[in-house]
Amino acid sequence: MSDEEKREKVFNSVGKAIREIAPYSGLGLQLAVTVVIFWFIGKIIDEHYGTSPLWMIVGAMLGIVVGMYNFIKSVLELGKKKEKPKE
Amino acid sequence: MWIGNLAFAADTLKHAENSHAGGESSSWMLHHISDSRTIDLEPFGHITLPQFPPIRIGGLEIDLSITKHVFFMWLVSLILIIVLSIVARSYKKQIVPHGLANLIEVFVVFIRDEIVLSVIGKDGLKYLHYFLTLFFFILLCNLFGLIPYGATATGNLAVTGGLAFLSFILIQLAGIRKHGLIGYYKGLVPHGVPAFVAPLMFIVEFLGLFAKAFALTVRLFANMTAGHIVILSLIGLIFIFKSVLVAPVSIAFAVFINLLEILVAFIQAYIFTMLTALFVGLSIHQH
Repeated sequence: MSDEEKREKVFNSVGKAIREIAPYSGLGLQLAVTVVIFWFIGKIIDEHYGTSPLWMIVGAMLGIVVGMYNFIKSVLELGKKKEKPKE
Repeated sequence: MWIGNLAFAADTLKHAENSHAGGESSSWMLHHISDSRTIDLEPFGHITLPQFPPIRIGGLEIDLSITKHVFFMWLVSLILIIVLSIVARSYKKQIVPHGLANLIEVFVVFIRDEIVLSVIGKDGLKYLHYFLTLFFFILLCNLFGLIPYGATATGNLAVTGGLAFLSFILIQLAGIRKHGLIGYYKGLVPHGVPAFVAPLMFIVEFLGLFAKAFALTVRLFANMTAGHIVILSLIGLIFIFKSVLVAPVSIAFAVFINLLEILVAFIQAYIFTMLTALFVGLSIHQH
């Protein structure tokens, strides 16, 4: 009985860990994807107007700024959510 | 699951033989992952789905034929409508859930308490039905890819893009409803920012809105496709090494990844719903 309880406890804590980690694991990709789209938009502009590599660099820089900003903001919001139920 | 793997293996054999004649090829893998006009029932042949002539709107040619992924989306929707209405009806007879209703209630309560109430707060309950629909639809689409002859509709960029587009609209509408049209877009710039940085912050925030939706699209698509490619690659190893001795190892790994895929199906449905809720929360609670 106690063995089963222990197993259930482990199972629950693993589930809880996954629940906590999952949103953060999604955010990592968001940062990467943001940089890639902005770089790509810059590349398309470059190909269209023949201004390579100006807009590609601008796009990548903008992507890093936007991605980082959103990333930090989302993480702060997630952190806030964790404290709420305790109040 | 075993039968599913066998079906994969049988298919791989046929395609490996084909590609053996025409050099190395991985097109058999894409055949399983990408959308197609037929539903394969491998040993028994295949069903050809109806195909309509493309419709012209403006300069665009839009092909609205029914494909494999469309078929599975409809199947998922049909199953959800039937099962969930049976569950909803069972609550009219008695409040205490039984059987199927019990299973569904676990998910519904989890989404309400853990996702909507804890991330958005009380304001989010207005949008609860959207999150529930989103979660169950994505979950069932993901799981359909794991059963024999099934296909993962969420392993298609058009499908995940469509879902992310709906979420994008919800994020905007939730913000506009709370703060008003001008108030919402004004509120994108955080308070206490110096005047000369404000336009820059607005641009960053505004572009971020699209980046979020785009990330939702790619995340679900990549995760669902990646798992399938890994399983197919592991089975493909047998035919690359041309040895039966590799089979036990690669099949064991494929079964392990298949089990992992069940977990991933749940986690990805959860992440999509959770992040949509998070972004809705961000647009409602502006600072």
